[in-house]
Amino acid sequence: MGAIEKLRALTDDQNFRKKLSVCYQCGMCTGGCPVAHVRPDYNPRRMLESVLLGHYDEVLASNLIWLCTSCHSCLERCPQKIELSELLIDLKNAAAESGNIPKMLLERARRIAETGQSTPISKASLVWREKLDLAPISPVNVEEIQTILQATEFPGRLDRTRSNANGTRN
Amino acid sequence: MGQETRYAWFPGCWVSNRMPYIEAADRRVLDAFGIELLEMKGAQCCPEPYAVLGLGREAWLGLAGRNLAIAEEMKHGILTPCPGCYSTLKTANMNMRNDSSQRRRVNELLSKVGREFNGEIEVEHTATVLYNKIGLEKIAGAIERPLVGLRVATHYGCHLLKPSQVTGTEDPERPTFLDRLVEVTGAVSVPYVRKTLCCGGSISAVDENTSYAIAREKLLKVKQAGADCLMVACPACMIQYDTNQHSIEKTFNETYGIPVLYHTELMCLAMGVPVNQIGFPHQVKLDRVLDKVSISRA
Amino acid sequence: MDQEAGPGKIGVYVCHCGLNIAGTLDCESLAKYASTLPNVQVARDYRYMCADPGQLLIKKDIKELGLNRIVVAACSPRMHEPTFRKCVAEAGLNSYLFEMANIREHCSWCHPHAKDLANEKAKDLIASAVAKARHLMPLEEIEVGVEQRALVIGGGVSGIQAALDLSDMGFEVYLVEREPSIGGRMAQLDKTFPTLDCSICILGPLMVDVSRRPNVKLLAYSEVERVDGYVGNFRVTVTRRPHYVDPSKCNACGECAKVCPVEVPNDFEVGLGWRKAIYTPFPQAVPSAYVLDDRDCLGLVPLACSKCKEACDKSGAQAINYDARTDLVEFKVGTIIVATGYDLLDASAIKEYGYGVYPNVMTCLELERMINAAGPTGGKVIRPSDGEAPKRVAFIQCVGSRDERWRGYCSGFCCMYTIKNALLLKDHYPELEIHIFYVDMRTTFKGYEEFYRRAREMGIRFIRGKPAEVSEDPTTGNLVICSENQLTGKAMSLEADLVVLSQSAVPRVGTDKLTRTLNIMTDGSGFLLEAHPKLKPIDTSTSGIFICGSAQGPKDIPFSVAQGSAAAARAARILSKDKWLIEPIVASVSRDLCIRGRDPKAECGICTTRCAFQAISAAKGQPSVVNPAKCQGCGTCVAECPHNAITQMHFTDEQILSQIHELLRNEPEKKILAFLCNWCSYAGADLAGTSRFVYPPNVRTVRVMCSGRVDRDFVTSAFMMGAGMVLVSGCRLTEMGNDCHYISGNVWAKKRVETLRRVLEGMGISGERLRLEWISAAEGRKFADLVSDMDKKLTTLGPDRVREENERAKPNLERMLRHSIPSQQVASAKIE
Repeated sequence: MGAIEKLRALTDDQNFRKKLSVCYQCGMCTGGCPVAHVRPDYNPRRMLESVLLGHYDEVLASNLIWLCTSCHSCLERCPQKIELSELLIDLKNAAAESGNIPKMLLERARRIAETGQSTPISKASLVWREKLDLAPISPVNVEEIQTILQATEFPGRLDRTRSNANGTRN
Repeated sequence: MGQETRYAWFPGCWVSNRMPYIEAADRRVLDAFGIELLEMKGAQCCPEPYAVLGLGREAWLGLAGRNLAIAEEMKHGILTPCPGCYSTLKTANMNMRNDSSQRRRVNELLSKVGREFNGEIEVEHTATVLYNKIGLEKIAGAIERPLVGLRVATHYGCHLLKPSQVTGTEDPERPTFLDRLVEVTGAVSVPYVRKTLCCGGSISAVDENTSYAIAREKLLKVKQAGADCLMVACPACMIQYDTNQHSIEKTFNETYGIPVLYHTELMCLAMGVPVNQIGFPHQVKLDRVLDKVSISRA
Repeated sequence: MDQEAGPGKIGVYVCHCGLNIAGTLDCESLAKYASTLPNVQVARDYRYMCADPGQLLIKKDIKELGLNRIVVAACSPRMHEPTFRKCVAEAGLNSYLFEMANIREHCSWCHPHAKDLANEKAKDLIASAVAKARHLMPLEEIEVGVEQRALVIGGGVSGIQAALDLSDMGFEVYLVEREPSIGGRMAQLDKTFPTLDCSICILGPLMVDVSRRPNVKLLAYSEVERVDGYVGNFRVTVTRRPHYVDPSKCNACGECAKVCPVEVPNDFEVGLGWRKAIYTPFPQAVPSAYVLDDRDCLGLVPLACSKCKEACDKSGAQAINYDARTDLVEFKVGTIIVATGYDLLDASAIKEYGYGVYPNVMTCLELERMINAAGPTGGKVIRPSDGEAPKRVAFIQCVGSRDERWRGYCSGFCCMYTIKNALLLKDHYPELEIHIFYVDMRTTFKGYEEFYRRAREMGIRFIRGKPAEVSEDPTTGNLVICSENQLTGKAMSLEADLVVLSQSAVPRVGTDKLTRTLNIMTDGSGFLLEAHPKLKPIDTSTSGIFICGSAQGPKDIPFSVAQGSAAAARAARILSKDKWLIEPIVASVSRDLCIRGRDPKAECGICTTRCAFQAISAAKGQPSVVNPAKCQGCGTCVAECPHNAITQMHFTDEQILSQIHELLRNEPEKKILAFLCNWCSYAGADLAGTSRFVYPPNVRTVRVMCSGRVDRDFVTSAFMMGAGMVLVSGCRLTEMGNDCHYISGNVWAKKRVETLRRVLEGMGISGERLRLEWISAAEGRKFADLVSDMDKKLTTLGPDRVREENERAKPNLERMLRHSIPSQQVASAKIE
């Protein structure tokens, strides 16, 4: 199922939709959004409106959704108790379904799937820990992790190697 | 109130791999108050929310559930220095306790590796443990070197406070616990505009410019308020404001010159821990701070 | 014609209600079905039964066919029962020989797609109404006398208007006001919108007028302590706080206040100004006499200071007397009007805006007092932090209103008063920059849109966007407001040196206590609840008690004044009569069945403890007796009487059991039998239909006046007859409070149902098959969801399992019913 289909299936669910359609577009989310204050093209209020209007392609096309920092200010303050930062995660999941993931995040996800850690363990960090009198990092049980992940949607999404251009550092 | 003195220690990937000096500072402080940290054998990344939760809820919940199950087996609550891990594990814990279908699904996954989640343990952060469990009175007793005259701007970050339904914070708009921890060291907590602004660190891997623009706002305001340093409680905020400060200065052609300290690092200074024992290997040198409170570099 | 003897000659009329009913139900077939029912003489269907031609049909049949019971299958009885009762009375038939089947709100409107099942349901509802009709008996309304005097609680503009109108009509009025002066919120305002009239200037004359009337007794600094009785005959007790100042001697010279050593924040100035312990709240206060607040005074017993008395004696007035005591005033009135007004939400609760922490964040009322020339700053608007004049002011609307975290409703007048305040500021300080952050501008009434335009003309900037946070610059005390400006589509921050919040109006402190004193209800937001939101906005469901002004919901001055007059008119309907008629659906004790009547040593008296209205008395060695004028008709005593000795007129056990029998006639194991209380749950179910919420059609409703009426035998019989599930629903009972229209009927219902459930579970009937819920008149959605949920559970259980459980429990259920002494009340018991 492509991203748009996935999103449509999600918003077709009345229970899910009901919690979003109460939005009266007050803009408190955008007003307190750290990203919106530095990027005029990023507007959570408009994103929600687009979702409600069914303009899924619009929302997913520009990959602005990956700019959400999950600071949860919107969720905390919304006068209609809409969990907007959670919706952003659903939008990210839908995008990931069709392989639309920023390159760096994809790399990080792969590393977690392969090693159980999000950052590589360099020799330098091992030495550093020793110097600070810290015990070496507890080894991860990678087998268990992979057994769990295999049974979820994760491997499929990792396989979609088509990552978007936004993922490059500029 | 039953005083827990032993916790399952969950440093998180960034602290253990990239910033072990934070772990060192944490251990110093917690040790002084009799808190024992136990190794969580086999634990993996919390999992990191931007890469894992962003890709799929199920995988995220499953992996988080595994970490919680490990702590449950140890029969101890989790203590972590990283609000990202704190938020991940606390949210997963709450979700599975409240929603039986989520819990069932995770236990289905965990049964494949012989583990089970029962919602029996709690998740704490080093700052919340210091403030709530150890308490200001005890901490005041351990201050050897009051940081009189030091002007500290505190940055709470996002995940220690929000969503308040998960963290239990009474006032996410104007929290006070980190400021109290600053004051107990003898320093002054400096008010500044837009104190609750996010650091933007989570999207630095996605869009560096936007991420830096967000961090810049904070650095400008803190500089404007005349603070000697910025105190954080999160490794990601630390990287953003410290490691990336020079890059941000270059990007916007400005200077801030604000040293950044993790909260237990500040505590270590006040507790009289010699500087070279922690090292403070920050990008932005601590000279300004050490000079202000006349602490030697040794 | 023969009215007394049952089972009667019944006429059934099925209304199409245009397509409201006929669009889903086959009215012709329903009428045909009705004609096959025993004792039905004639059955017709017609487009609009409530219209004249429809009513004529009924009247004609009564006259020509000698009908003595009428059933109309149409809308909710809460809609047209009075209409048809009047209709049959005009044809010479007792108006209580009439019953309605609700096939619109409870059927056609909520089951629009399940046509077959909806028709089946309609048949059952009609059969149920016919069954009840067979057992109906003629009743006469009860006459009570009327004290031609009114009580108005609350001396704001709405209460004052009500008092003036009633006084003009020649009725004596008691006007009780909690504060030392009348005037309410309007006295605190500077100017009023949209005319920019000086508020106290237009209110003052009304205040003086009402206080001077010979037939108005103004009791200021007083509160209503207790109310007993019923419509036409309320006995009121008012507590008067001791003034310690004789109003007839005080000339308001103010010498006492000059010397008083105690200074406390002045509530009238919203805490911005001070007053002394002995004070008058504002210069135009009515009564103008000073009062001494003994809570603030240094001490009266023993006397700590006597400076005020010395000053007063010296001045010659000699009005102060430290020996004053709390007074209790008692009097009787025929009607009560509640006009207690509103408070404002404590803005410090809305943490993102920093009220209470940042000095330069104020509330609208604080600004109002500042602008007022008689206010604490002499009319100068200054920044609280440094006393400087502001250069840029930002107003924030919808603070705590339209917000699910605080108050979900719109507070109604804030858009307008903010425009007003902005215009006043711009007029006093032409260079001042003013920004108003709004979500929607609600400027609906006469002159309001024009007022909005005027503000824009003056250069006041309106920014659409609800600010996310207000943050303070510690060096200047200025505020940084982070908001989206939707008009440009960008997030922005605006620095202002003064921020004014428009926070939500909330019910006045003490409203909940007052509702318990008067036995009236509040809505979901705590404002006083009207009897019907559209057609009876001034009545409450307690006969003789009316509401007006912001106590009923936030509103502006013209609306408050209009409602004040409306309340006076509604009250006058009663006061202008010598006698008032009360509905006779009251309880009556059978002298033969009451244990106290049969056994002189028996104590019992359970009924007297169940009645929340003290309507039942039990003299020693005598059977219990119900005072029909005090009985409100809940039926709780009827259900609680262990000897089945009490009956409720028009809601007898016989009638209700016959309804249950019909409703469970076909496939009972698939049915949900619902007992709904008239005031809340039945109305909630009506609302579900009106709102067109769709829910499964296997629910069958029985209307009772109160959930307290639901006898154990009803539930037991229902399961004996094979019911799938039983629902008992009444007014909301929560830890926060009890909305029961009859005060505590639902409390007894709860005890009874929960005990019964345990007993039934012991017999093998799954606990979830007997459900107890609280559904208010505003909760249509909740009712629909509840039925859907129960239906889902019933389907999961399955008809086989239901039948099995019922069979297993049958012998025990029979035994339970046999032990309940069968009711043999004389059907038309005389009301004594």
